[in-house]
Amino acid sequence: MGKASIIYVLGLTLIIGVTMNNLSRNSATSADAYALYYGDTQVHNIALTGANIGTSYLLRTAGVPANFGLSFFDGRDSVMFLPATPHPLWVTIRSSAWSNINRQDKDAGFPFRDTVEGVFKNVQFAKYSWFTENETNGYVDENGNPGPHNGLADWKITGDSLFGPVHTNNRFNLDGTPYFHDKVTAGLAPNLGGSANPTYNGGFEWGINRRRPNTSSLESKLTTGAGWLYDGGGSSDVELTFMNNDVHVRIPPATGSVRDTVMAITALAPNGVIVVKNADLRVKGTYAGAVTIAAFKGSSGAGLNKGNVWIDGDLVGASNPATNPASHDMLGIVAGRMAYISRDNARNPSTVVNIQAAIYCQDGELAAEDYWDIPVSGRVNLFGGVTQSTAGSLGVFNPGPPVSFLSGFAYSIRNDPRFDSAQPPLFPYSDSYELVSWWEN
Amino acid sequence: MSVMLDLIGSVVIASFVILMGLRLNATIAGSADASMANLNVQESMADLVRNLEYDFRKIGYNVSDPKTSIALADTAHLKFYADMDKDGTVDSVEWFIGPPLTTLPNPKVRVLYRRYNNEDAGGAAGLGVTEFKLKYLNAKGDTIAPLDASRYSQIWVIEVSLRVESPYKVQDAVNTDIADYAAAYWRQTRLASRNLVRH
Repeated sequence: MGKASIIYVLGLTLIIGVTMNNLSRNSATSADAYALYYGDTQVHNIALTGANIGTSYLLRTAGVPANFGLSFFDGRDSVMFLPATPHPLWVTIRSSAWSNINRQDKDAGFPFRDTVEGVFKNVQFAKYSWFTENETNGYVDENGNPGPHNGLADWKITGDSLFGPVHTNNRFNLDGTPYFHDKVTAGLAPNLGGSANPTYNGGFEWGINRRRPNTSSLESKLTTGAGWLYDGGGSSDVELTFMNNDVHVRIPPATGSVRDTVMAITALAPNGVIVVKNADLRVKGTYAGAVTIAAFKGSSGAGLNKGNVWIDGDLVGASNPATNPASHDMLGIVAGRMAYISRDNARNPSTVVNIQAAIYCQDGELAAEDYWDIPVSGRVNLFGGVTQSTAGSLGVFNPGPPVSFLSGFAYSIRNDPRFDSAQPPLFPYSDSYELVSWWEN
Repeated sequence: MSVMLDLIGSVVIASFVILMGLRLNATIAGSADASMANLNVQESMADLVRNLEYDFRKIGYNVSDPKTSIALADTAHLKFYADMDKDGTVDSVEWFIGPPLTTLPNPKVRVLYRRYNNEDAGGAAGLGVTEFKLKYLNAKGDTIAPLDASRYSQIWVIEVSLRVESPYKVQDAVNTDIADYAAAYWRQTRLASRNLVRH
């Protein structure tokens, strides 16, 4: 009996021991499974945090920040900024993290590691279909006199559709159901009217600021890099009529008495950059190749009111970029002050003005000349976009319903997808960065 | 006579001890079984989650227009584009759940599939998936209805829910007289790829 009891006890002890060992091993393995996930997650969060901090440095300061390292969350992170990687004007942020947790899987003895990589590039203004510093009307005529709506808020309302990236460094004024096909960004959250319900098809983000170059650096860069630079002395404007590969140059526009020549665009400006100072620029026609035209005001006298670009008619690519994404024809228009669509009282509601260009107005806006005082003039189709200081107007309408035009143009602005990755020569870009791609393991 | 009583008494006591031992053995075996099932469920869950997160974080990577990153968004089926191997070529990745398997005691168990480019769909790393739910939100936090292709471009955040169960019932950890499936549940409420929201 005594021996049997001992056998029973030993047997039960053995069974319990083996089973408890299995249970304990299962528990340990189970804990390991979650420890592995925890370790992966922790090191990922360390790398992500470092990348976020680095991104914040890059986006909020001019230039490329210095590399830095951080120790936190029982791990270590090293953040490197790689300028001009993988392209000029691009920056890659590489955040490499490791954790001090002892891993128990096949890689036992090695720390958990992870890398997050973000690629950024300078914001190219040509990509925007609509960009303003402020969403207010800033119309001034060629003599610097303000228009009747100068200073009033610009509202985007029901029926307004914007295709392409849209941005203001201030805040949008929205009411009704405006439609934004692509992403909308702004420095401040929008001012919403009582019935505002905008559609953001590509999402939105507030608190985003895109710095524009100051006037002197913009002018310096373009005048220094110009293939053809002309100083009008405050009195002599320039007219360019593009004729595919050629351009008809008339100075001044009315008479051509100073210069009246037809020549290849590449002969006039081998790099495609045409700049006038102390003068206005009048332009129309069909261009071939990549061209940027710019006008800047003078420093005194009559030159102070120069620096405007006048669009006198259709201005389109020889190979239509709207239908041929492979077209090499692209035009940039840079105005130190205003870009006007010239007044033409012969226009009627059926008229269509086609403009294929990226337009940049440093101190002014794109507007129809005397837009409140011209006949109902049909439609402007802008394929490209406009970056401007204030929100230009092309016409006056009664919002209705039904909507009715009182004067000027209706308009359609569509961005040129080519400008996501390319710009006309020397077209302005921001020293602010934007995300190109973001890699997380 | 007293010897007989001793023998009978010892047999009775020995019987009780043996029954106790058998009961203890059964309970411990049940616990071990439950423990193993729980371990399998947890390992499956951890593997699945790591794979899901690895893939979903890359949605839209190197896709020229991020608005076109998502090709199909259903309640349990997502197809998206991303350059998954950083070779400059945009790949397509598809996650979807199959019908319930009929050969297992747990009738809810399904296979979670991952299809890479045009390869045949393969079962994902973890087994025992009984629930795979996807919910899509735009920048305002509003829900985007599944299969509404016109609004795929608005998707900013994906909420992923995953439940994994054991294929057979195991002993309950507290009340050993009842049995149920070992289970683990995971939900990621803000799984967003920054490539979707870039500009």
